[in-house]
Amino acid sequence: MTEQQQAERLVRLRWACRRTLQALDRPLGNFLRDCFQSLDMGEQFAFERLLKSKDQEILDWLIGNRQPRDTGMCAIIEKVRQHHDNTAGE
Amino acid sequence: MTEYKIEHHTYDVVVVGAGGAGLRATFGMAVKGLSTACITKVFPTRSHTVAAQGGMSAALGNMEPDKWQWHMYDTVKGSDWLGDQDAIEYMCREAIPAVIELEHQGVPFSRTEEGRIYQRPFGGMTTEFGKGIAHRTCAAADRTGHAILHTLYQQSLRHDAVFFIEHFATDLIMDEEGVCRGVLAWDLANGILRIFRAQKVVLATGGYGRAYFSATSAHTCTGDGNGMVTRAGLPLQDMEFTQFHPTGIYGAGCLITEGVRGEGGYLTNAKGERFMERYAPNAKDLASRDVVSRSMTIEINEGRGVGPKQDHIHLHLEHLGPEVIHERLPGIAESARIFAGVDVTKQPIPVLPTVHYNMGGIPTNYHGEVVTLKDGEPDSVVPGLMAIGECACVSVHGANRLGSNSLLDIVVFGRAAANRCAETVTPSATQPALPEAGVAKVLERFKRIHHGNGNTSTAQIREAMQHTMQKHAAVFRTAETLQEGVDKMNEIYASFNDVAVTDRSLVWNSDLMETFELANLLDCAQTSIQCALNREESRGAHAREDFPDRNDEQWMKHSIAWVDEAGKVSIDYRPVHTYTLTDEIEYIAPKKRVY
Repeated sequence: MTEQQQAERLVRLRWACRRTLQALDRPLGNFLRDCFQSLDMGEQFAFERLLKSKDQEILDWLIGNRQPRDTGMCAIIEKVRQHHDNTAGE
Repeated sequence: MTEYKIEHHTYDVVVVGAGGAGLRATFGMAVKGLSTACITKVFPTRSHTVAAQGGMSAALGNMEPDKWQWHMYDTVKGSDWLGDQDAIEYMCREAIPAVIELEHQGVPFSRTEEGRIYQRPFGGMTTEFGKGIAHRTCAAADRTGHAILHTLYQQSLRHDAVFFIEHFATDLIMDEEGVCRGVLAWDLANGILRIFRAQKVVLATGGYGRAYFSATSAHTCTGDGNGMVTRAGLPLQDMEFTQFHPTGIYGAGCLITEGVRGEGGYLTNAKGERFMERYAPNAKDLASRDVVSRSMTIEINEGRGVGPKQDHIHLHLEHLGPEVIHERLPGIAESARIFAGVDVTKQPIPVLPTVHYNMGGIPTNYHGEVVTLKDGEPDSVVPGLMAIGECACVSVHGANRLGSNSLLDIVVFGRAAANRCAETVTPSATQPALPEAGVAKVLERFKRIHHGNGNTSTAQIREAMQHTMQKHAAVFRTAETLQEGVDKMNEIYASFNDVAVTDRSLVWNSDLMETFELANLLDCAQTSIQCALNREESRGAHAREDFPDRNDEQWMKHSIAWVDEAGKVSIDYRPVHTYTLTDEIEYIAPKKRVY
């Protein structure tokens, strides 16, 4: 991926982190800002798949009421949750 | 204007917004054979309607006998008699066919054992004019908004409506006679500016909760239609009426249900004092929403808020013990942990009264046509322009909306707008060229904001506005605090002239879009706080400590407010419609509102 493509991808992802359920904006947005770049490629794709899910599903997964069937997404959810716990109160 | 790539489009009708109201109107128009475009800044199924949980009221009488007249009485009373009774009659009557239509279109309503639509009780909904509790609210589990939105989107796709998704509409194009002739929209993905020409523009842009610091609404709820209307020289109506929920999680905007206080949760201030005992000695923490919200705000204003900024309140559950919390309040512990970083078995939850709904907006009649006060005529229709849903003020909610009447509002008036267009618009009629001056004006404004090179960031101005509104135009209102807020808002409004847009790109430029949104929010905030100062009575959600009673003699009227380019607000009035649509129900005369 060229540098320009990567930059466009990030802009697109930042957009996708702005959700309808605003409770999700911070956990997803901060994860993108702080952690996304250091993920391996598989994890980055998993995060992109996560962002394509419905808000209510993401909320349920994040809260722990349910788990996604996609194991890659399960792992990413766990990372998003951990990062959010670490940065709470920011 | 060579800097921008411009494309022109012509449709019979252009709908702005793809929440429940916008989608219902869009597919309704398409069904009637009108060429219809729907412009939306987010993907339709991510509009804020998706978050509505409760349900949609309609006097179907599936559980026990019910009548639309009883529903109408409840709505009028809920509105504290500020609602227009012709419009309320229309909504409550049409509720019944509207729900049946939704059912046929595929909304999976919850069922009774006999297979009929299940109906649940909801606050303020009664039978026989206040005597019994009505089961009137139809729901699809706790995902009603979600179900309705998805169904309406499917229907729109079936009926050949054209969607311009992730397009941000910036301004209406008006001609010299004050007729709305089209709208300008920015294609967020590729930077193209699209000039839409239409016989009718229908605004369905939702509320403006983001004018406040703490709101349940999504980041998208920025009063875009309201802003466009003020810039077109038209007034907004009843902007002082804003509904609050007492316990939103501080800084996160999601609600902690009132059930928590029902289970024994209580509120404390910075001194650890259970202050509700002072304000409501009997009901204490279980007093009604507005009383609790107001008491919390007084505590914060008097310097007894918690946290480094002393700007919120603590909600305690620790004393209940983990078993009770997990058994009776499932989900609360998790929400508090994720969104407030709090373990509710050990720590209190930071909470704040949170904006939930805007009753005010663009004045319309019950067909959805925008109206204004012109040459002494208060119901003068603005040709070419309609508004529906939360951005509109029909007014069916008056000074206070009842739960489950908003999903009803969007469906009924989305449908009404489509029916009206079928009567008034000739399919594919030749449209005259757009007025040059009107087009130039909206392009110039786009350019001016796009190149904003002042010294204040969008985020700074927005934050100042949100904190000012939260502090001065929330639930606790006196002439003094409001005046202070008005002075601050005037400065904040003026500071927009010094806004800095750092990113000049036109592709996915969230900085630029947020700047346009901020301009719209500022118009909403400015009219809202000034109308609040102006209305010297308490009615519905507008509670003045210095004028604690409703004053029908002087204030049984809608405020309408214009904003000029410098942010100066002028206020006038429209009479409340004190008549009904048919003789099947008489005008419901004002009474004291007690529950």
